[in-house]
Amino acid sequence: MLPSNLLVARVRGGRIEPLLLEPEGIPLAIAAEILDRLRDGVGRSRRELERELGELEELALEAGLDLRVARAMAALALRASVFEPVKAPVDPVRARLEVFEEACRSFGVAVSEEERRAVLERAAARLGCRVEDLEAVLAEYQDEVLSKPPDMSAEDLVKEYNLAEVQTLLFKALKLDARFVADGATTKRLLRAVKALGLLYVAEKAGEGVRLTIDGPASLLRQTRRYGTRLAKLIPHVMLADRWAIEADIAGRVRTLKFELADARSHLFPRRSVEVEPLFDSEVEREFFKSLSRLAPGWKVEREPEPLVAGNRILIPDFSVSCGGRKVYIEIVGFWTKEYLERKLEKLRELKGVAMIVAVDEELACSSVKDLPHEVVLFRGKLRGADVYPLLRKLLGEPERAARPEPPREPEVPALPDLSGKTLAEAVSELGKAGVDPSKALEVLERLGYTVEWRSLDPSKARVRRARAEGV
Amino acid sequence: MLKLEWSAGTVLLRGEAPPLVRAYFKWDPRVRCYRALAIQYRWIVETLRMLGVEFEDDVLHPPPCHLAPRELPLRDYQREALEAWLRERRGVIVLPTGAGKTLVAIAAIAKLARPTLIVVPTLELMDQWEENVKRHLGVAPGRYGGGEKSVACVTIATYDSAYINAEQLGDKFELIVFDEVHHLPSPGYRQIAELCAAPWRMGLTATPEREDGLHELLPYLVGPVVYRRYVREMAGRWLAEFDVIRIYAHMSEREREEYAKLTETYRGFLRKRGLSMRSPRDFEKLVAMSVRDAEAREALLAWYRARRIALHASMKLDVLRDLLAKHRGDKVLIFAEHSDVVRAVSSRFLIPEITYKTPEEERRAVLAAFREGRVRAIVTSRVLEEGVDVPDANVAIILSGTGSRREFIQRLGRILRPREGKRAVLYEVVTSGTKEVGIARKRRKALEGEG
Repeated sequence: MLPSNLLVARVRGGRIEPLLLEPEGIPLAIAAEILDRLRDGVGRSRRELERELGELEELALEAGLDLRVARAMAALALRASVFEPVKAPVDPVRARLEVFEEACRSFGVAVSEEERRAVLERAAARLGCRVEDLEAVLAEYQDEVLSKPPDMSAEDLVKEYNLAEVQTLLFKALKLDARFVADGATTKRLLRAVKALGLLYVAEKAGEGVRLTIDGPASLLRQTRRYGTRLAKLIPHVMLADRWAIEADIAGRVRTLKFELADARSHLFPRRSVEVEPLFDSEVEREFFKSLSRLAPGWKVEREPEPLVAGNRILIPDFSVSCGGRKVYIEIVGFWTKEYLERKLEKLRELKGVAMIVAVDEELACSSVKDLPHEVVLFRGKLRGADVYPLLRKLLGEPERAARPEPPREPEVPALPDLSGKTLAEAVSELGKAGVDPSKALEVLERLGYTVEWRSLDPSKARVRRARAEGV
Repeated sequence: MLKLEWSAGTVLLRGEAPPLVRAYFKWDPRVRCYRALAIQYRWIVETLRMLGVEFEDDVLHPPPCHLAPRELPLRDYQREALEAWLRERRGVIVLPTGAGKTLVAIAAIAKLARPTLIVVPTLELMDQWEENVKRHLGVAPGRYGGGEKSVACVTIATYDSAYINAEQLGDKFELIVFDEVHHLPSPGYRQIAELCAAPWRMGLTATPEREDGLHELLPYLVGPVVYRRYVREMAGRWLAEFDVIRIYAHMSEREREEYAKLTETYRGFLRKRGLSMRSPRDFEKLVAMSVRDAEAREALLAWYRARRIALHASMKLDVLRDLLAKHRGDKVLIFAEHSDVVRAVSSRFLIPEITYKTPEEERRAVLAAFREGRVRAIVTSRVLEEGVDVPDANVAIILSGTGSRREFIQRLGRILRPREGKRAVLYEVVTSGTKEVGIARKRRKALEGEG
């Protein structure tokens, strides 16, 4: 996210389009230059570095780019850097006050050059420093020095720039429409973010996926940009979906503008790894998954399947079990009362044509457990496959007896982060985490579409880059 | 039964309401409930009571409060202002800087003794209000802003932080006080008032009028002006007597030539294109043109440079030196437009500066030193304009400024706190033969235009 004066966008026919850059050519060169200067700039002051990166604005202009592109990239790179305060020969605040008070004591105000010199000499003597040290603290406020340059590749920086532009544009968003196809876990994280940001959504089915219309409580009563910053924060979550498209209403000077973006351009954006959660958040669910898979190997059991739209809300059941073309969803309920169950079931019935089993823990019941509707299954303490098996069989039919041993499932490979820009040593260790033997690492990298730039034979200096897809 | 609930800056209505009340609400399909902006809370409740409808009210969630109601001693006009406000418990009080607006609000809090939010523009003002709350109400206020987030019976927040946290603050207070209330109508800040349920509202300012005309929203956001006094009426009795003196500085030969050349570039462009500059909007058009039009860009640059020469003519520092020599024993505030000029003055005359870049620690130390007389001059850009207490400054020097009347009145206000036998003086240093003469004339209308 950037200050709004760094947004480069153009308006055409009621639409607004931010300038998005391919990570190649001049923009990539400028990004690389910024990062190089910062890598060489360790130990130098922030002000100096800012001035120096400012020179690149001219370069951008000459190359036919908007100078704000260079300024925005520099801002993002500086933000990803670590600065620390310098050790000055005198404490600047104390020294400055000493000088001012000395001037007041001696002359009221140091009107002439002679008075000024006299004040500085006396103050320097008292502070035990040189007059030049005082001139330095009078000339500029204390500055910080660069201690750690940003850990990113030029390509990363261009992508970060694109994301920042989109988010900055969304600061002025009145509402956001997100259509996406995603698994339950990704959807859950998005909805959790919506809730945590104090936003509201309305869900609809849209083709294979869902469409969320997101705005805030007061949006109903006022056209307001109040929620823009928060809508911008949702974007990285949306971009994690398999397929996605967003549409936003942006408050323009005169009228509302449309902004659209879709996954056709997802290669322009960083893929933010959102915090990884344990696949199973409760013991109950893990046990259940195991026992049901054992009981009916012909059924396909899925944890947190695709989201369902119930009324105008999204529901992500805990499991789905499918066989042939039929599918049954299972929801596990913790503490409950009969009224709660009624409300829940009523909501579920809005899902026409969807079979749903609700499993409730008898020990966590807060009211009588008699006369429960037929879709409700009781269990004690731990839900086992056997608890739902009879009902499932009724809904799905016999599991295939032929029971070919299930083909060995591919080992779960944790998603690899983007390796471009990493050193070879880092890439090898990332691959190692995914179970790749170091001896095979180079081969795997190439198959994943990376090339290695050997700057020397030291793997901590060689850099991994994404090969130009077009060139291959 | 009918129920009103708080929901993130809005009020939800559960149950069937009479049509007269429902007019405040809109059906929200997202939650299947009626929803209204929190600012309507007072009117909703008053209407329900008037209709004699029973309802459950779960909108306000104030923090525990142990204030005992009491009366504070006030000057005549302060008492009049308070009484005028108490009639509706809403509205704007307009008093010149230095006339003790703060005390009117504190007296209102003391009298009502209910949970109160005070919204102020800067962290300095937050410190000052905190001091006043402690001294007159005997409680430590909560603070929201500058990284702090604590709520107490009396809480002080900056406009920025109140805007960002409107959803968290809006249901905690019965009275909300907006200091320097002319900030409130801007599109962002007005939401502080709209998303807050506090039924009682007070606005304080020396000049409610805004150049953009948005002050027309004040009656809706806080209430109408309920009391107003002008500087001229109060000088000599409740405010110090003052003089305004204009001093002309001259440009150097080189500056004069450069200025003439730049002005001609700018005017020539306007002539050539048949443009005229009558309103800020015309100027915005020129700025927009400059994006694609090289000549427009050149004209705009010429305008900026000419302005800079006029505002910062080198001779101004000589004039300043003479003024400082004349007022060695006085307490002086110097105002300049640009932070590099502020820095130049600070470094040349060894006077502390206060700008938005000044570290917090130094800013506090400088203000304390000024109050205690360990330093007797401060140079500043705009930071000190609003409300900051610099009790016995008696000389102000405007080295450069804009044509804004509010800015002028506020800068003048900084030296008007009364003291026995005090006569304050405000100098304007203006570059002769430039458009700055016109700028200065415009801002001085602030004095003529007054009652």
